[in-house]
Amino acid sequence: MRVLWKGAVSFGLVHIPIRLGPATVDRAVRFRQLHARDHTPIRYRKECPACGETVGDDEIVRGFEFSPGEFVVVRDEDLERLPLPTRRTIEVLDFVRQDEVDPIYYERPYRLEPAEGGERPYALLVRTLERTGKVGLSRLALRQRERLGLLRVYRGFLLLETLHRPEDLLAAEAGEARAQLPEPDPRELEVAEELVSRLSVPFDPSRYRDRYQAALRELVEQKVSGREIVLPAPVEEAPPQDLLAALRESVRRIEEGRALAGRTG
Amino acid sequence: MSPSASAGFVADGVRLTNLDKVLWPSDGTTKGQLVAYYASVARALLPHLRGRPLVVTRYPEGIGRPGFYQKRPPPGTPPWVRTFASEREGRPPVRYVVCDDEATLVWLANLAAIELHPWAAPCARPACPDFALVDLDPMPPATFDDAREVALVLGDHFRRLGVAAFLKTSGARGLHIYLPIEPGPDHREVTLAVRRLATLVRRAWPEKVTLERARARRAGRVYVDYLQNQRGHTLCAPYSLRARPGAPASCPVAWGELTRLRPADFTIRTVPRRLAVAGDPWADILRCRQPLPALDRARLFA
Repeated sequence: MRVLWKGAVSFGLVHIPIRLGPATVDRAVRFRQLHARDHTPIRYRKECPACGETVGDDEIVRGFEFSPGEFVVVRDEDLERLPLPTRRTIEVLDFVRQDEVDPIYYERPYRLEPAEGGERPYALLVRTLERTGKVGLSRLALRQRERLGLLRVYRGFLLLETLHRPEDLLAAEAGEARAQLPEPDPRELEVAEELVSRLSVPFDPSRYRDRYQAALRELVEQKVSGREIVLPAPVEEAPPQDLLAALRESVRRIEEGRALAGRTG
Repeated sequence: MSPSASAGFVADGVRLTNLDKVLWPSDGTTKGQLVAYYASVARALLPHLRGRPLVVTRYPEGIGRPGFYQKRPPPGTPPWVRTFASEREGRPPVRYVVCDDEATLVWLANLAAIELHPWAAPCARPACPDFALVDLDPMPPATFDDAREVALVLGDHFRRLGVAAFLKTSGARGLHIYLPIEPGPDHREVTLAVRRLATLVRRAWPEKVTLERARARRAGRVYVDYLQNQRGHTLCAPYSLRARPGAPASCPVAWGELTRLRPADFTIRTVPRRLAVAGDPWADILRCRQPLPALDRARLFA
């Protein structure tokens, strides 16, 4: 596992040293951006439209746009004074039933592994969560933000799911009741339910391939094997031998002259 | 003009200010001396600026403080200063200052514009450079002497090909070679031609010459920067000063001077007299035109 950070899970007096790593990976084909003319990978340059200068990272500050075109500057020193939970600690606040947590809250899973000395309390927490069917609601600091997380068991591992905050959900704006829909015809409902039950299978996501990604990968492989490869500058070209020989002669004379100068001077 | 000329002095209709401001702190060289220098080399310098978009590097607080590139006409640009709008596909045009006359040159100097970087292409044909540029930049621990040796090899090469080539110090560590060409080829074609040339020299002298764009991998060798031929890239003009200690100039030299010259000898203090006494080794460059294929050995020697 690629370790993103080392820290601990804590609840009550229990302290479990853990390592945290990604639980998912994005395998989509990635492209780089090249200059169409000479196929050099382009770079980004931050430019100030007022003076036209390229702006270095040390010349950039954070600005909050409180009304269009008006900013207040927030500096690192300002942020350091703000309270943040202890870094690298997943602090379990409460335990809830997992089926109470709608999947809409799930943001991104991370995998936890026990670090040195953490095996026994880690195993204890895994077993306890499995037996009670509960998950741990936790607070943690991740990428300079305080996040809400959910500790749950997956195949004997602890997973940390980062959660969206309730105020970030767009699907159910605060106070909005159930969507108002027309009542379906009972016979249509019966037929539809019958259809669903006939198409029902055990969940196996590996059956559903990403056909677009597969086609894309095939396209790229064809281009690579068909030598449809573009190279960024410079490309070597075989120089004409007579010119090369003449140049080497010039080089030899200069190197010889330098050696002579070294002996006499 | 003496450096003690005070604020309110007017030259060519340009009001000069803060002439006592020290721009090169290590030797106390002032803005007054900068203005005086550019006025005294104007006759040789202006032909290289006239009718070309210009980028300048300004150091209003002297070279000890960060300077900045400027291409757009700054606020307060006098109405008589010529500008040029560079059109680029899918982007808003960029306005450049064009330095056509001594008044503009003096005005720029008064803005503490130390380095002058004109385009190789004129406003009239912004897609067609007039020069193929070879920028020889020795990467430490390589020194000027290494650039000199590569220039000597290139000098032999151009003589063999019968190509007219003009040499100047960069004013920094290296040397610049300008090959005047008949207008026609675009930036890409010129870049490719100089790349072929650079590749050839690298083949002949791999332990001395590098084309690596990654800085770390070119250390200790002379970087032949053919990419300076791309659109929007520039070298400093002949007789442009550089924002470096000692106020060095990028000084045109004759090929015969190359084995003995010391680049530090060409400064704000020495170049005007050299120009007056010995003349301009580049006097003919703007009248000289040769087809780009002359650089392309494939056509000559096929």
